[in-house]
Amino acid sequence: MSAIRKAQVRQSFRGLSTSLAFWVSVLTVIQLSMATSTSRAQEGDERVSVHGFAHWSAGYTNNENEYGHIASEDGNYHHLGSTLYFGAALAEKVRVATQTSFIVHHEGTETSIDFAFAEYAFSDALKFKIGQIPQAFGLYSEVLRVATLRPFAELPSSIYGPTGGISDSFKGFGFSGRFELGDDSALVYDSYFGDLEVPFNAPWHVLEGEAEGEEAHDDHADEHAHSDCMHDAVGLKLTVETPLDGLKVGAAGYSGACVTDGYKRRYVFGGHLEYLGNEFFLRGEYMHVLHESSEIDALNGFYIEAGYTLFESLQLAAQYQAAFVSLKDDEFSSGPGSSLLDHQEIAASINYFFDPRFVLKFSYHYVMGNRFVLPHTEEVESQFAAGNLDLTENTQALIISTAFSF
Amino acid sequence: MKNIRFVCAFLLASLFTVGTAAQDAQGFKVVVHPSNQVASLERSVVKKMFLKKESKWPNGSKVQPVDLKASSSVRKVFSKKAVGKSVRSIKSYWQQQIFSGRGVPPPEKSSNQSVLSYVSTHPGAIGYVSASTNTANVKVLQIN
Repeated sequence: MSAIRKAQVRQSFRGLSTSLAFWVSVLTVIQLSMATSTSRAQEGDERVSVHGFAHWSAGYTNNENEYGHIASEDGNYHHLGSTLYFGAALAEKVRVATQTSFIVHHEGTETSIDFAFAEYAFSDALKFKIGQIPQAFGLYSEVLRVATLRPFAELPSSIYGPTGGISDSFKGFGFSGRFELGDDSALVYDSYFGDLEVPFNAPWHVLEGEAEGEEAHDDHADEHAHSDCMHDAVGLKLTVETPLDGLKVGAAGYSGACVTDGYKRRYVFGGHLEYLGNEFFLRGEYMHVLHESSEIDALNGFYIEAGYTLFESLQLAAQYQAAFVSLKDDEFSSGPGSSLLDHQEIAASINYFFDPRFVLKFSYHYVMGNRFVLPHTEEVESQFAAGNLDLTENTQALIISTAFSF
Repeated sequence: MKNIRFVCAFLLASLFTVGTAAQDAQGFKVVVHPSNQVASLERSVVKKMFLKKESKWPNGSKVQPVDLKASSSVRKVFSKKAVGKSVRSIKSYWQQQIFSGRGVPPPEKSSNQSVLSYVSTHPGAIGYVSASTNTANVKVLQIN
C-alpha cells in the first residue's frame, strides 16, 4: 500500500472514530444531563457534574519555520480543540471522572481520552485512584489542554512539548493526599504506578536518516516525533503550600522502562514554583530527563513566566524558556544542524478576560533554535542531501487565540 | 405632578437599592445547620472548607459548602475577607480542580434565602449570607 493510500486510510479511520466519538459524547451528555436534573431534584445537590472547555488559535511566522501546529509562514487558522468532562459522586467517599478531547489541526483530527478513573477517599490524607489518571508532574501536567489557565496559547515547549518527559496521563493506580503542616502550610503528594506514553521528537534524525525502528509518518511535523511508552513507571510529586497565600514550591520525578528504546530506563526529575496572587503571578519550572539509551545523554528544559492583571480583566504576561539536548555522539553538537538540538524563546502576551472562563489572547514569540520550530522535514532532508543545509535559526511568530470553559 | 411623584419614587427606590447593596457589601454572616456543634471557626479553616481542602467537621461528617452566585456583592466581600482571594481567582482555582479531575466547586445559589434553605436542610452545610439577613432557622458561626 502506498504511503499516500495509507495516509488516506488513516485519515478515514480518524474521521470515522471522530464521528463515532462525537455522537457517543452527545448521547452521553444528554443522558448525563437528564441524570443531573434527576439527581439534583432528588438530592438538592450537585452529584453529577458536566463541564467542558475549548480553544482556537491562529498564527503567522516570519519565515518557512512552523511554530508547532499553531503558526506558519502562510498563516494557520486550523488549531481547534474541544473537551468534555463528566464527573459523579457515587457515594460520600467514591467519585468517578472522565474527560474526552477532540483536537483539530492542519494535519488532521485527534480524539483522546484525557482521563477516566475512579477514586476512593479514605480521608483528605489518603485517596486511592485507579484507571487512566492525569500525570502529576510540575504545574500544568494535569491541565495540559485548559488554555484559560495559562497566559499563552500553548504551554512552554521546553517542558510540555515533545520532550520525552511529560505525559498527559498514565494507566494504572495512584495514591494522593494532603497533610496540614500548621501555620497555614500543607504538604500535598501524588504517587503513581503504571504505564504512560510521552511524546518525543528527535528532529536531528533528519540528518542521519530514519532511525531504526522509528515509524515513518506521513504528517511532516510528526516524521521524527513519536510517543515513547514508559512501562512499569513509578512516580511521585510533592508540593508544599507555604504560609504565604498563593505561594507553593515542589518537586516531582518518575522512572519507567522505555519500550521503544529496548526497555532501557528513563529518569525524569523536575522542580516547580508558583506564586498566584489576585493580580500578580510568577511561575517557574525545571526538568531534567536522563536516558539510558545509546543516543541521548540528557535533556534539560526550564521556563519562567510572570504576569500582572489590570482592571481585573487585562493581563500582561512575559515568558522565557529554553531546552537543550546533549547527545552521546558529538557529531551534531556543532555544525549547521546543531540548532535542531536547541530551543530558546522569549514571548509576551496581552490577554483580555471577558470572564475568568473566557479569554482572548494576543502574543508575540521570538524563537532561537529549531528543536520545536522548524520547516518541512522534506526541505531539511533535501538541503542536507545537497550538502547545503541552511536552517533559519531565528523565528518570530504572532498568535491570536481564544479559550473558554464552563 | 405625576412626573414629580414618579421621579421621587424612583429616587427613593434607588437610594434603598444602593443602601441595601452597600449594607450587603459591608458584611456577611457565616451560617451552618442548627444541629452543628461548632460555635466558631478560624478564618483559615473557613477558607479550606470553601476550597474543599478540609472535607470533614470535627464530628466526622462531610463539609458541604455552598456559595452565592459570582455576581453577588456579598460573595465578593466574603471571598476577599474569608478566603483571601478574588472571585476571579477562585473561579480559576476551580477550573484547575475540575479539569484535573480533582473536584468540583460548591453549588452556587442565587439569593441569601436560597443559601439559608440549603443550609437548613443539609446537616454538613456551611454558607454565608448578607449581614442584614434574618438567620432564625440556621446557626451563625463566629469567625476568628
